[in-house]
Amino acid sequence: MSGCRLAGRVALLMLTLTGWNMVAKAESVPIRSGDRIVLIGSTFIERDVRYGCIETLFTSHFREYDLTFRNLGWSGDTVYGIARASFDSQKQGYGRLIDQAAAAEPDLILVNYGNVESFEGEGGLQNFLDGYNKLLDDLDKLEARIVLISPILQENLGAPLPNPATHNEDVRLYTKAIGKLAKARDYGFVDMTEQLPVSNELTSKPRTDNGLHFTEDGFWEASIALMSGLGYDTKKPNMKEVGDLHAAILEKNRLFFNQWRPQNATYITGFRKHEQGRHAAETPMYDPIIAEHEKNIAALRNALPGEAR
Amino acid sequence: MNHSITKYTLALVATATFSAFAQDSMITIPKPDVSKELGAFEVADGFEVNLFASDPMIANPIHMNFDSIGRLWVAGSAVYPHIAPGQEANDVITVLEDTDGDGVADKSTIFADGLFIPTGILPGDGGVYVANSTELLHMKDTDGDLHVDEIRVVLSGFGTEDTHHIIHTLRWGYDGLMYFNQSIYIHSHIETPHGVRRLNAGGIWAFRPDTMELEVFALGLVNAWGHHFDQWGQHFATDGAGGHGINYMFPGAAYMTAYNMPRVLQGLNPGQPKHASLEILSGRHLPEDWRGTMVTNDFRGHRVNRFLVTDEAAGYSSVEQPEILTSSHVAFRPVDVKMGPDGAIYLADWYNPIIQHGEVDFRDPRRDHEHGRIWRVQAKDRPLLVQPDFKKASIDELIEIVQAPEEWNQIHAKRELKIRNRDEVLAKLNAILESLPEDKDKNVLLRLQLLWIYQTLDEASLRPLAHVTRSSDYRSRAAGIRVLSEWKDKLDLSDDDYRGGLSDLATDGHSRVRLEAVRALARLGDAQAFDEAMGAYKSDMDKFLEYALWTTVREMKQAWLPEAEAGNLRFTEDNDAYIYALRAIDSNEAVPQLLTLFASDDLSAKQQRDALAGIAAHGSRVELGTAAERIFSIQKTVESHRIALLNALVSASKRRSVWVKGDFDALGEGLDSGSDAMRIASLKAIGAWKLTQLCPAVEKILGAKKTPESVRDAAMTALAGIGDENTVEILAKYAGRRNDTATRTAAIRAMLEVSVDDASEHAADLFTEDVAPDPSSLVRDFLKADGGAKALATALKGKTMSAENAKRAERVVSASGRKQNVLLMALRTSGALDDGAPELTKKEMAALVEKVQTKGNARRGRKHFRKLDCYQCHALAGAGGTLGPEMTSIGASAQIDYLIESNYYPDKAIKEGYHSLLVDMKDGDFISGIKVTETNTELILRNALESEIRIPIANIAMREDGGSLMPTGLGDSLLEDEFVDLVRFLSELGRTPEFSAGTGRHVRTWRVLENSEAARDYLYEAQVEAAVGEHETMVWVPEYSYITGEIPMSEVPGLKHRYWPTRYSFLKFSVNAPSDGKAALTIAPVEGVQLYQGEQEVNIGDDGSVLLDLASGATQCTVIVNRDIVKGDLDVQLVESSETTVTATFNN
Repeated sequence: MSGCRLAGRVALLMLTLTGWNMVAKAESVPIRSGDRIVLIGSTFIERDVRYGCIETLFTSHFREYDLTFRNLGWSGDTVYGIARASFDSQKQGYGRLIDQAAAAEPDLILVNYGNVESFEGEGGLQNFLDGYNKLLDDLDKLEARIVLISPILQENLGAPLPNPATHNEDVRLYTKAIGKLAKARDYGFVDMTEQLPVSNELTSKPRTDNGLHFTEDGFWEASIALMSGLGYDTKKPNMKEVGDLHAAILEKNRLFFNQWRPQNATYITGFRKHEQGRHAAETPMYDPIIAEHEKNIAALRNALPGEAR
Repeated sequence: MNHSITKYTLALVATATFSAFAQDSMITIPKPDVSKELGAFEVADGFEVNLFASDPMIANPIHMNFDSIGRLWVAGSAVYPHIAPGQEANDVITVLEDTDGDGVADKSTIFADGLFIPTGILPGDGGVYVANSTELLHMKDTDGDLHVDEIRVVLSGFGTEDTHHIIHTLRWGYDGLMYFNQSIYIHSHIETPHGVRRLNAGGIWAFRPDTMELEVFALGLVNAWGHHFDQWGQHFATDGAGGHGINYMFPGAAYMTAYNMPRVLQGLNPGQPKHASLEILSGRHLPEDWRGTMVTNDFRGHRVNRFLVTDEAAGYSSVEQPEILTSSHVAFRPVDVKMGPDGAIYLADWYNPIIQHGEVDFRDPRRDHEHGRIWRVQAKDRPLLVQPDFKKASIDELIEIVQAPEEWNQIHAKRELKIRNRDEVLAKLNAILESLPEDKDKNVLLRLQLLWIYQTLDEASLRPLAHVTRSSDYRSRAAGIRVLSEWKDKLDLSDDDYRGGLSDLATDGHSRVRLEAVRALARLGDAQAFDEAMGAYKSDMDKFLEYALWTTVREMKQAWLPEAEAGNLRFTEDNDAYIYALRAIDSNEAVPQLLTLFASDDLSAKQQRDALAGIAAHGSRVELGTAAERIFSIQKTVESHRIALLNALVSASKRRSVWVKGDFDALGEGLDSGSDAMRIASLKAIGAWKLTQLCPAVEKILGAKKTPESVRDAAMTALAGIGDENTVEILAKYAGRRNDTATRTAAIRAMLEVSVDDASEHAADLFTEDVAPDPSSLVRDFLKADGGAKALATALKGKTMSAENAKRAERVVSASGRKQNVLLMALRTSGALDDGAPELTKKEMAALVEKVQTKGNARRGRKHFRKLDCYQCHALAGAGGTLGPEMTSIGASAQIDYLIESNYYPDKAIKEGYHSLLVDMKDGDFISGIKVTETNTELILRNALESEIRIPIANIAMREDGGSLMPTGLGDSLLEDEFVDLVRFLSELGRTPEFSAGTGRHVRTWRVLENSEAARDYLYEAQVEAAVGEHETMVWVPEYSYITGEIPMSEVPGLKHRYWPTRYSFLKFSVNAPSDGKAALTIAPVEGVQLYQGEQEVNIGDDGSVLLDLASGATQCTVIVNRDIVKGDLDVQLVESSETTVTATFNN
């Protein structure tokens, strides 16, 4: 359970309020049967659309839980939703982040911000925390459980890539502040700096290809670390066994990505929608297709060899 | 194409409710027969074209690049423009090989599939980089089967708001950097180990993959689909929508669409069509005069263009050359051009009759998703090149190849050197440097190439750099500064050393060197660096240097402003430079220092004007008041100067809604004793600043018998400005029937500002009299006034206007872009007009399309285009307005149904960048126009009169999308046959030679003399002098040449004084020279034509040749045409001649 301090009290309260049908032993356990898990953050989260490691690991580990996932990561995003603004103001970008989270109907939200902001150093910390508090106030309205994930330490891959020593001090500073925030708000918290420690020395077995972003193998390690931070011991699944499941998850992720982040948004929902706005009708057409893929994922998950936990 | 997708797409097509007009039968889709396309080419003399590759090897190629062993990597997309729900993303990267060297690809391999609209491809770093929508990928084949085994996401977070804007145009630079571009609608957020990098709207990225350093090199352009460098490392770009041909790019350059930039640069060839790709030709296979020329594709007009670009001060001038090839085939879409390893020119032909996805449905069945071609153009009878074997070459040989004339060989050699033993390479480079003589004039290009090898290796060193920045060749010095700037931190140079090194270069004898030094100094951000940068200032700076300095002034303002105020910076000793910098900031931070300058007696009249403009634009009420007082206390000046200053202050304060606060005794004196002009200026100030205390003086002027009309109008406007309880009563005296029309109109206009209801009553009386004046101008004022339209509609109830006047008023209302239905109804009732045309049915549309194709006459349509004043907003080959889209090659890209629809319903499909904005101001004013740009503080619109209006964002109450500014009901105001002719004309534009812009440099925009008695009398009196100069009785109006360059004399007014035997026409044009020199023209016809340069007659040779001796800048020329002799068209164009010494251009 190290690293996870989910507030049982709040969870219990929500349980009585919403009358969820919970499996036993679940009170202090972050992941619950039937959870719709929504991932929010920047590049780290977004890249799982391509790699599918977090989702495959969770799904295969909790094969009896019927978990579903929505990945709302957006490269370069901050607690202010800046990457989602597109043509509009930062405020509208932020509104979009909240709307996207609500539309995903979360039971559990994993939030990972601070990777981008930590580059602002100590001077940017207060602004980050102000924004984070506002974001969490708004996410609270969705009545989902929330776990905050700290930013990730940058590896030292040697010249010509930058030496991350100074930046990592800031990552630790932000991590500490996020931990405090989680505690104050009675949220779960995963300290990725503890889970994936990095020294100032040259990283001997890098998990990343540029210090910051994981290779596919590194992403499995990061996913296992995330699970560990949530209180679950896992290991990389046997790819021979989960290969089809992994592929099905990737395809579902691709479809969902094209649904919520469609290309040509300018013409579909943006200021030129009077020209091709008719194609907004295609957005809900993804729902049954995704539902079909999720059925397939469930079947593959149930057919995994070995016993359910 | 995947079978299941075809089925799926067809199902969608059948059910979706897309445009009723997008039907298969609307155009003839040609059979995708290669020989048909080949037969449709016209190739430049001395060249030939052959098919290198075709479908099924490739489909819809978008981008291509050769690798170091001569294989051509091609990215294409069948998924474009938009993936359907459930559709597989199955785009591929194909590798084409010509294994037997016969100029035809004989082997094709699919390297990767499953891609999602890949729009860029670049072999390198042991694999290939691929732009894949949100990501930049690096793909590697690890087992040698030419199929991808490893995929790495290099960068991610690129926007995809438009699939023909997503990252594209990947290239290796001479400097080892990877460059790539994004277009106007894209918003990118990229996390790198150095922090996040963001770019909104168009721009060029510079990326060093080894270090993950990612920066924005330059900003803007709508669709920068082309980017390349000349042999001196200077950058050029083309634009798939901008229409300015070749654009010169440098660090910090910003062109149209640049995010949050209030001012942008213009390209080198305004009036060009949209362009895709850019390749600067090089290599020994091509004839010498082709090397260094720039090639880009007019993908709408099915042409491959070529430009000759030459040095001009800091920047360049560019002249179009005869095309490389043109085609009459509608599906030939050249989108990429690259030099091949054999020295030939390769063209990627996207092959598609439909090229838009904003205006044309994503799923339009006419889109081609299967075909594509690569064409190869080679010079006849010139030997082809053999590509060096880079892998086998020694380090010495590779360094030798870097000096080869072929740019691609230089780049491949540098990339190969990068993976060789670094110490060995550096030792060799060092040895060569040691062996070179110290002479500054020698080995200039060699030293630069050696420096770029160091840069490609990312090995910062002063050793190779020092010589390059001290070379006697300015192009070398400029290139060296660029490297120094990138290396500042890598060299561990102190700020002092860096600044010191650039100090002399900022005042270099060549302005391009000064430009680079200014931008390099901007890296530092301290006041001393800025002081050095201002060393580059001159009052007559080249426009590119001026822009570089302007942007630097703004970037560094926090550092230098306080230091300048404290008197610590040298540049402030020059008033011109100081005022320039303060004004460039364009904010209230500069006002205190500008006021100090304005109060000093050392300023010239021009400096006073400039300083005041800066104060007026941003000062507070009190600061404006101080400036107003100062205007009347300036010693030793003339009244006209004082008036100009006062007018400038008044119009700025009005625009900003600032009531100036101060002491206005001097103003009152001006009202009593000044000239009429002074009194008018003072009256404007009184109204604008609501100086109630001067109201009696205004009334006195109004009551006086001898007050001239212009002063009286100004007095009425002043009263309206003051707007107290007595105003309406006073004005009503002048709005009644017993006054003349002009007085009444002026009084109503003034009254409108105070009471729309009273003004409406008076206006309705005026409009419905038996002999009523043209209501257009007053109606325009009513539309602007809050509630004016509604009040006028009410007042018109039960009153009858003439049908003609009602129609005129209706046009004004329609053209305003605002849907004022109540007023429109009132006008129609009052003038007993019909309602507007109902929508076209499908059947009617089909019949109309057929009629255009079978009966339409483009020549007649050309006349209607002129008659309808289409030129006022739409340009042909750069001549005409800019309010609406350029029409130069509209016929080559738009289908007939689309053209009809656009004329009938301008709001239905509006081109990128031509949506009007309707802005309600907090002070009740209303402004409409096309957005030019927007910053955090200002919105800049272009209004229907083509002038730019700057609107402070703080003063905006509300804004809404106003649709198109184009008047609706055009189909209504023409007879059907005339409408059919007009559409036929549009559909021929850029498609058939008779209606296409050639490469000739014609006078296209003229000013022609209007026929009036006053003009004829003055001409009779002053003769030639009257025609060649400017005089208030002579009214010159714009007129435009045909797209082919000639102006039809039938459209130019002929003037005949009663004592003259014949009629004459008078036409003016303006010719621009970058420096003093000679330019050659030809004029046709010769007989009956006289030409004046300024006031001097110029000799026209028997063959129509003319040699103009031009001074730097613009020169006015006048053509006098005897209409009894000249019956047809007149053509004036610039030509090349042995006597030409300067590249002149017309101000078209």
